[in-house]
Amino acid sequence: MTEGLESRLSEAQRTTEALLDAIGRVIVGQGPVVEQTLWAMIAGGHVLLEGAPGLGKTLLVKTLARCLDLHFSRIQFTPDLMPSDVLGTNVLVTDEAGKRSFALHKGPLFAQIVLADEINRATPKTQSALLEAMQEAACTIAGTRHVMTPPFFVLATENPIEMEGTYPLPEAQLDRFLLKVLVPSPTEDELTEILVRTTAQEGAPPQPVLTREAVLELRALCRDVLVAEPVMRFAARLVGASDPASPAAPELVRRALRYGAGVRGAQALVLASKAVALLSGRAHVSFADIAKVARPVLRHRLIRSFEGEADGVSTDVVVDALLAHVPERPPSVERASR
Amino acid sequence: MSGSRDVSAPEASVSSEPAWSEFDRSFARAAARVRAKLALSRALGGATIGGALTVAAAGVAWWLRRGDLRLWSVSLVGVGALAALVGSRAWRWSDEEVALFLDEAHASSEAIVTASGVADRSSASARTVLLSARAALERPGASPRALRPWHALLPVALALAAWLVRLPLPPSPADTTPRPSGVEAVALEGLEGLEEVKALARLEARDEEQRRRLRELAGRAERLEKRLAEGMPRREAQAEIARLRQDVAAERQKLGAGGARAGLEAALGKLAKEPRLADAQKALGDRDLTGFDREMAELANRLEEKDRARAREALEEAAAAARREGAPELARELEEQARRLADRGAGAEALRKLADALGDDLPKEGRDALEGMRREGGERERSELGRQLAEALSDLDDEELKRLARKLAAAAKESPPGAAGEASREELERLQRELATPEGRRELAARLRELARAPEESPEARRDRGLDEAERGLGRGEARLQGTPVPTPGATPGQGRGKPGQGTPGAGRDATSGGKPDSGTPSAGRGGGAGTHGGGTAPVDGDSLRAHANAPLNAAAPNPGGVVGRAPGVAGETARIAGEGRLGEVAPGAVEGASRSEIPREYREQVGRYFPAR
Repeated sequence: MTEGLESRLSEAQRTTEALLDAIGRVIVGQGPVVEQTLWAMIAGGHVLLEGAPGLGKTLLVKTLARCLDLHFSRIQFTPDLMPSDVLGTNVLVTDEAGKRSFALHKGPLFAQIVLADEINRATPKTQSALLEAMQEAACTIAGTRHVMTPPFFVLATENPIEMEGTYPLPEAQLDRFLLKVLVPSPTEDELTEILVRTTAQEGAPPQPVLTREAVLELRALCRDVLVAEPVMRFAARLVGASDPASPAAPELVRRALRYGAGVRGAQALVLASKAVALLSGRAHVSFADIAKVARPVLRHRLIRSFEGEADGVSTDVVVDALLAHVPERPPSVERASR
Repeated sequence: MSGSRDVSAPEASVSSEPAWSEFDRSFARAAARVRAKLALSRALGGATIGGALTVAAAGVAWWLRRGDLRLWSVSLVGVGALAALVGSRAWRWSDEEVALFLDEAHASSEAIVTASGVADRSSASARTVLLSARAALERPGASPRALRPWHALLPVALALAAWLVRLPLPPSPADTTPRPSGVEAVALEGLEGLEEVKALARLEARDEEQRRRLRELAGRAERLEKRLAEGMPRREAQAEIARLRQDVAAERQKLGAGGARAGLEAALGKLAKEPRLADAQKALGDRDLTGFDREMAELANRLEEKDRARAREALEEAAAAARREGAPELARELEEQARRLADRGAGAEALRKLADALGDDLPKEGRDALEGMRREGGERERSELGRQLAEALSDLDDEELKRLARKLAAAAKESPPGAAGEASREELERLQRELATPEGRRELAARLRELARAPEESPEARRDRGLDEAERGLGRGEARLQGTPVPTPGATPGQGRGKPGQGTPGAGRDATSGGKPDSGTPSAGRGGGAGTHGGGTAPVDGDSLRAHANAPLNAAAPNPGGVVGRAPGVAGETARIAGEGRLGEVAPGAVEGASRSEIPREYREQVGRYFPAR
């Protein structure tokens, strides 16, 4: 049985490496972005990709969808997009016998990989249509609950530059995203490579690397990863210290934050770190895993105060301060280890 | 995964699978190693902190001049180490902490803490973690460092502490503590005069009771010396010295005091019958046993055989009277003096007779010494006479020696009957025999020197001298303490009582009577010699002039019922000392003492008008 798990872990490592390799053939650079997207996929969460236009966010999602051999749909969020445009609606149909009835016309949300492109351009009403689906992998249309076909994986993008005419995502909506991944600008080498690839003949599209079953297997395996109590407590202390009202909060948190992360933040920390451990071929989570996922997990869950915004304190800086402030081990162990 | 399991506990070692049991054992071993190292490190840390505290404590003790505390402060090192060991029991790491440390040390990504805390050991994930944990535990060298850089302070602290312990204590600073008005501190090393009091402990005592008293006096002097070295209020020191002086003086008065006073009175009465013993009687009345012994020695040198016999009889009667009236110590002293008078007198008589027999063969110095001995009976003259006689005899030829022998034989025949005359006759006959042969003459020369030698003091005189020296020493100490001398009965310069021809005031020299050059201080004696009495006393400083009753009635002791000189003042003390005054006692010499004193009658009458008797 142990050998079975070991082989499954090795297999998971191998397949994810193959997936990364396949994506890497299309996407130039953006290694951390791709990796963090995989963490979310394996952990069963959703990803909010934030970056300037033209950085390959949409291409990344599309490539991922192709590599995973999953049903992919793309929703371009616009201000006039209605919830029914996303979820679908009941339409009146007449069967061959002439009998008329309502039939559900499923919207683009009923897919396995959903790209919610420029999600902040839709109205809050439409944005909130995603809430139930993202939380419970199900949606209710006309009183009827419809369960999504697993795996259900939402990848949303937003553009932080063109903020005019946009609707910032509410905290409740943001909290549904396991990770918020920042897509950086490419380096000179990466840009050169992009130019080489995109200005010549298009190459063959990537072939599916992971089947749906394999993805589900990875997700199941992720849930089996063990977390020691001290590691779990470290995650809890991190989240607790992000509350400005907490006595354990560092000075920067008290000054720059209005609200800290909540329970979903702590859950996300542990789940994401399990995915990291799994991708490392381990069946247990380490402190380093927690620290590694802290930024993408917490950055969109920390609500800055007016002072924090005015001072330009980014949430990443706050997360770094939290990591520096909250000890992983008890002080006596820390001292003895030095 | 909830809760931490203590795999060191006995039940935890019981596992269904050997792999988990092996892990539990490996972990328990590693935990024991880690905890032992931690305990060692903490003990070293505690010792280091104790060392730092030792340095601080030793420094403070040095600063406070507490040499004893400095040594004790070193124990803080051990106390620190022990406290740390005891504390390490309370701060003992849990299994979870040990596992976290091992994970960190082995860089095992928390595999050990996950494995040690896993609840469901049968799950596949748990088994996989177990493999990682066991692999990590098998790696060597994962234990905390026992030695920390700051532990290097321990030897430094120990060296510093050792240095501080051996460092000489700083001198006492000037005491700046505000004191009540009139209180002044004094710190003195080896106050002058206390040595003489301490020497009382070695003095030959009259009896066990006196030995105890003398030792107590010496002990008090030692304690006073120690307190003075540490520093004490000046007035307190002065008061203690005054008390010591008082008690030393009282000790001198013990002979013939209390129950034995009647014996002393009786003895004095017997001695008063013999006029030649007047001075000796006065000295005994004053209980000045040194003076009494001196007077008796001079009498032995001066008196002729008949007078000596009468003086001896008086002494024996006085001894008998003293014994009869309950003063056996005094009786013994009188008997001893009677015996010494006979022995010493016989020797002196022989010297005189030999000198007379030599006649002009004796050099002038010898004749002068003979004259001085006859007149004053001084030991110096006797010694000089003996030396001159020995030299003169060595110069005589055989014929002269035979003539001298014949003269001695004639002198021996003239010796009066009685014990004293018999002794003299025997002495003269012996001289005659010795002159007959060269060997005898050599023996005679040696014996003459022996006869010329100053006699040993009697035990009572020796005791009295020791007490006298102690009293004088205390006087000097008191003077040193207050910067001005305090009049001390019997301890002031020029204390010697005058006799006719001696104790000339000022620097005068009584050439005729052989009076000694005096120190220039006024004496109570009358300059009765025929020499010039010119000279003068040094100007008396007004500050040192005290209302001191020069008490010739009882020079060695407080005037009974009066105040001894000036008692240095601590509030209450002065009154106590002065009040002691021995009002209940009246010294023998004080009986009719005023009429016998050297104060002119008209002065006494004048004073009497101011202080009428109540």
